[in-house]
Amino acid sequence: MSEKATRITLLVAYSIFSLLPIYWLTSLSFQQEISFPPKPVPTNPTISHYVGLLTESGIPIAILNSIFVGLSVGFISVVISSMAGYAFSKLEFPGKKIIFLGVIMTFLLPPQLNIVPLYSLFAEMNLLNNRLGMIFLYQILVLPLNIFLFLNYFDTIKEAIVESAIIDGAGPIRRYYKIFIPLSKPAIIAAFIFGFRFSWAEYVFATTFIRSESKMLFTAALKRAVHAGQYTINYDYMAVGAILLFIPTLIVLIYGQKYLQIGLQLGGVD
Amino acid sequence: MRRYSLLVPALFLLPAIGVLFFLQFFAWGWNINLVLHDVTLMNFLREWEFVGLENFRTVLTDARTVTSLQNTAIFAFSSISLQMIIGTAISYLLYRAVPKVERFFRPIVILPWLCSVLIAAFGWQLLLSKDIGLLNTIITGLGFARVDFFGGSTTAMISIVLANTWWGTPFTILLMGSGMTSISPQLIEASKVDGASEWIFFTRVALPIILPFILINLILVTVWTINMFGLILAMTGGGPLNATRVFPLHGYLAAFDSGNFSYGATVTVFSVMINIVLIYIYVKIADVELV
Repeated sequence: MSEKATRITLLVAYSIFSLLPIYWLTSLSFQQEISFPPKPVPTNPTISHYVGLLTESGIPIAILNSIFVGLSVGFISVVISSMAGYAFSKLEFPGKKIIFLGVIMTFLLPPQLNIVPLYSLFAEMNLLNNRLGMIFLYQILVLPLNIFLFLNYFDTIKEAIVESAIIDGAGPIRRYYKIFIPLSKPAIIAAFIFGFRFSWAEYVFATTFIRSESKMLFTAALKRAVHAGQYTINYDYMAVGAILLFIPTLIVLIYGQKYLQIGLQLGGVD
Repeated sequence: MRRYSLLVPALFLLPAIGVLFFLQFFAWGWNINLVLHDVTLMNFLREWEFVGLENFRTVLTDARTVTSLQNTAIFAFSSISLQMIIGTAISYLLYRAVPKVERFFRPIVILPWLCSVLIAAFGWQLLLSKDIGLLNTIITGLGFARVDFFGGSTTAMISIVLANTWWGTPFTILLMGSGMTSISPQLIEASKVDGASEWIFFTRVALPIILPFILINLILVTVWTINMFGLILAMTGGGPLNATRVFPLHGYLAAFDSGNFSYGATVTVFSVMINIVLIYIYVKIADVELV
């Protein structure tokens, strides 16, 4: 086998590994009967498991809760991270380096690290079992990345534009919303996508911080629906739920890749 | 203008930095408070009894702490090795592919990274399941008996390593991508003229060039892997019989399963200390640019 053929074979092998879980979730979600041995490809595909999960009590409201939380996290993080990114990029102030180091640390540290003290703090502040509390909490998932994103994006905006605005007498606040924000559409879209993507399917905080049914987020409600029976696992709900969680990811992969790539490059991840 | 010089930056920074530092650093301070007291699910919002450093003794003398550290070592070593080797290899293969091939494969190999932990957990649980798994369908098709991957301690560990490798490798691929671009195309041409094989070129020429990137990648992946517990919580819950109870999961389960918050907080202290050391090394080695 030529070296080129070997390279392609290895890429194909890894691609199969990469796609296998998603393929299997999709296949199972459409199978008539969930029993052993399952059919590798579903015969007579059915949407009955989808109907089943979506009509399960608590699931529709949980999906709406998760969409609401995801959109809010995206929106708020765009507003406040663009402001912070602007300050780091265009303003001078004492302690800039040390504050920035703090942001880097928060970016590198996994968010779930603090789950025990955060749970206790949220209990003290009456923010447990609270969707607004989750919107606040989820900022930690996405703010550091979005701050880097805006910081790097603003750095690329040409000084000449800013200087003409200074001559026109615009102060730093006016420059922010009259010049920088209107020029930042790709960064805003990327930051919004990150905000939604990181909170929409978050699992650990969602299952720990919200316990009452009407306020549950989708991941927590799904976990509960899967383990509804005491000794049985609803495998069909697992497959269907994972596919539903996956849909926004798929949309991002198809339509948002351009923005995602810009975001990743600017966020310094790539 | 002059007198606004501090007020304006403060105004711009405060919302984001306030939220971020509260959730990160203030939480650490609050965590010390939990460590020094005896806080359980029972006295959660009431008076806490001061116990000094007693919680450290409890955690350090607990046999499950030792087990969880061993589990973390096995889980982290296997996951990190697999992720680094596969990730670097795939990144190199993508770099060597023609643009059309690269554009086709890139979204496919990045895909797992865009999935949340729950998708990774459910996907691998269903692939490996005894009741409904594709792998067991193949195993029985070959004439062997079904394997209960989540019933045995070794197979359960293999399962979570596999799922975590699937989930984490795209990150290494992405990060190594920027390393690959520092290998100049002239080098490839030159080695072709010299008649060097692909393998010789990769090990003798490419690898030394991308070594600094591998090192940086390794630290980041280590930080994420030793702290990882969401995937394991969703897949095995730490079982069977604590076989997949890694260190951070040990703290989580102590707090939220057994209701002993001070215990969980004490585990958090150890985790934070390990993380700070690793991040310090990262900032030094990667020579992170501070604005």
